[in-house]
Amino acid sequence: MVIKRDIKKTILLFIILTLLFISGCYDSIEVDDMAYVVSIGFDKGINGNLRMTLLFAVPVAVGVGVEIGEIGESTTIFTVEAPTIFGGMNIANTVLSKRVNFSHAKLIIISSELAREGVEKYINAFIRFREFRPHMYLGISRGSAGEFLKNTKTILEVNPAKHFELLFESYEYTGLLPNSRLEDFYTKMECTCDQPVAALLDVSRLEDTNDLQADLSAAKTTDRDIVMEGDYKAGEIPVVFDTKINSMGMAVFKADRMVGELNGRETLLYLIVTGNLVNAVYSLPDPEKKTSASGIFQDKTEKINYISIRLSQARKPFITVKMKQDIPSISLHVSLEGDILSVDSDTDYSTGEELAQLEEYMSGYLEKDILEFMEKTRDVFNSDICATGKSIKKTFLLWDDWINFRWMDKYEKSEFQVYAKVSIRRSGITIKQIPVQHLKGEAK
Amino acid sequence: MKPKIKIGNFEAACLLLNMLASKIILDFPRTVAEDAGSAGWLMVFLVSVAVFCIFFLISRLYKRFEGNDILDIGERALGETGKAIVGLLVIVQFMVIIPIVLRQFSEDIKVISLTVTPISGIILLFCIGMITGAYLGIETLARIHALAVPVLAAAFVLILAMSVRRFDLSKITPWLGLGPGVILKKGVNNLSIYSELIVLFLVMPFLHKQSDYSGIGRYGIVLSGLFFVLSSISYLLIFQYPMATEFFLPMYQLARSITIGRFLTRIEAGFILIWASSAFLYLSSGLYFVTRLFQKSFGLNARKPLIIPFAILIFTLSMVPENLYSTLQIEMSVYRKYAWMITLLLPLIILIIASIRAGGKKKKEGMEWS
Repeated sequence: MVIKRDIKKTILLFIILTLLFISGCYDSIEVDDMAYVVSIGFDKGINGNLRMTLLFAVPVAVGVGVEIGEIGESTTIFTVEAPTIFGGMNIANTVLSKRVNFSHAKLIIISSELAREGVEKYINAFIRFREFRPHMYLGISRGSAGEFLKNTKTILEVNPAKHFELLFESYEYTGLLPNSRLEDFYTKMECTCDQPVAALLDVSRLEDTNDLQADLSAAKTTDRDIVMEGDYKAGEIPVVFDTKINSMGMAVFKADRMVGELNGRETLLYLIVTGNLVNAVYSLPDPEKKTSASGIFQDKTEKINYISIRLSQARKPFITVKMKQDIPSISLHVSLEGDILSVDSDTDYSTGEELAQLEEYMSGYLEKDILEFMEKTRDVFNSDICATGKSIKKTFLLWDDWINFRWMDKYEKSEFQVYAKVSIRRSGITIKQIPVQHLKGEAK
Repeated sequence: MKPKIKIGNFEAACLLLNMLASKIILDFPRTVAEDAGSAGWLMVFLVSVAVFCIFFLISRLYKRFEGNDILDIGERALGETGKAIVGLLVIVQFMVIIPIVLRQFSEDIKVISLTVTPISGIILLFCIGMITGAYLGIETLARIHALAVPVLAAAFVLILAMSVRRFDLSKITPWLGLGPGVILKKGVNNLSIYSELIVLFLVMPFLHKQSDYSGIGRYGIVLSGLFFVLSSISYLLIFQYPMATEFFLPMYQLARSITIGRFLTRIEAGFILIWASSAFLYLSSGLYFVTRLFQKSFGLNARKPLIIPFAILIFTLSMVPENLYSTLQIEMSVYRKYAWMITLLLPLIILIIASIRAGGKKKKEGMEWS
């Protein structure tokens, strides 16, 4: 009897152990049987096709590291034309020796040419297919997406996936890109009170420093007649670097269609208004407007002094919408705090009256910038990218009433009131600034 | 003869909680969004309050019949025929929902993990688990529930906690969603989300302290109600209506969206194991109750020989729906429409009849004595 029981137990144990070890055998795929896509680019193809450019990671090169001069070997490019995304994937599977896998893909790039025709069908495909992760980054290339990927050189980071992650996460300390994730884009695309945006990408045409002049001249100037560090879009940035790819600014969408572009500075304002600002360096002309140092990028006869502040969010922005007859009156209250990073002039803004003067000046400066930015979203794009409609949506009780209200149509008539408050909290690791000329006289 | 098997209050509460709340892993948050729009969570809250009140009424009536299960009450109310009818009705309820849940869980696993494995193979694997659980019996099942449910609850709370930073209050507006009329109308059908409450009326004879049934039921309803409301409100706070109606597996979608730094970005992989455990427990308990009901309804001596035939029947029924959508449709348009009647109305009716009959009998006995 005891022996019989022992046999039973042994058989049961054997079955359990077998189940543990054979689970997953049926549909198992070895890790090295797959080709891992790091980024996918979509362009308009020939005869209505989709041109798909796949940037694959070369695991051997990524895994063991590379020698100097072999840096480009961590990725390889594959371009295919097909009517659909998965048709393209199928072709890739027949050509490559490995099965294409998107589960480690970090970035989707869509050319602006395609984006202007509408991206809904592509976004739906990404959301439906489980290999595409919701937190993948989404970028819109001003030129060809394929060209963007071909020009990608992972110089400072050998892992291509990490390279893209770091590139897109830089918004947290520059504010010149939006947080452009696939799921956020989809959520905003399907929202009745918000519109999607995506990071703007392009390839730089600058070969050496001689080309900088042309780029700077072409840069957008504000009515302030100065060009600040964020007043560029991807592809126009005055940089000369071994890798030609650029990311700055954002593509603005209305539903699923791209309707325009915003530069880096406007993207920073977008982050401020939507409450997504983490940290950003913000430069502005000195209120004193003294002339002593040369401007950052200008070569003007009148030299301008600048102040650089690191901005962060003090409180989430507060947005209220009131309907005056059929016109929405939108009030925006933003509250920021800043740390002084540098002051070109001799004025010490660290304490006292000067500090209050700087805060007031900066608040007014930002108010004007934000107002211009909001008016641009209304007049140029007619797209509520800052989701101001959320505020009025909260006043509705029934879904049908909200839909019949047609907020998106009302946005184009909106009026804005902007209230910005900037509090300077710190001045770096110095508490005062003693100008050299006070010590050594005008002649220094 | 009273059964020797005994289960504790905590074990019974865990059993009830898993039976009720396992649908959160499936499609529950999505279906409530489909029914009431942005006010799906409100509808669930109202339904939970209504079920709590109905259960309070049932438990008051049950007081007289402590230690009896729903079949015994049926017998007291309407004799042997009543017992068989009640048994058959509850069996039908289980035989509708178990194949649906089995198919849904299997489809979930196929969609998110075993993509090329045939669906029949996955269902078969679940059936092996069900059969094993049903063979081991209620005592073992209840104890495993007591071990697994706290872990499952913690995993659920963890998903929600890690999703909090993505909550946006404007997404659950307009506050009344598709309107009070729709909430009330669909709310009646949604009483069926508590259909597994019938389990409490079946484990009654096994409880250590039979007078505690009311407390177990109350805790079960309150906790599952809390989980229902939390899951639906969290889902809607992240995925606004009507987008919330698009995802096949809402909780999986929530878990997929969670990232912790750059390294922990696929935490849903860990939850698949936990979800599969919940499914195994639900299905095993379901098969156990079906066989027990059949045995008791028809006065059979043994329960275990019924397990394999019922497992084959459940396997076959789960393969009947043509596709995943048909399975979901059966649940939404058939099961939810009627299940609440068996869970909430049937006990109420037979308890009233049994109470009247018991009262009449007592009166008669009293008159005879005097």
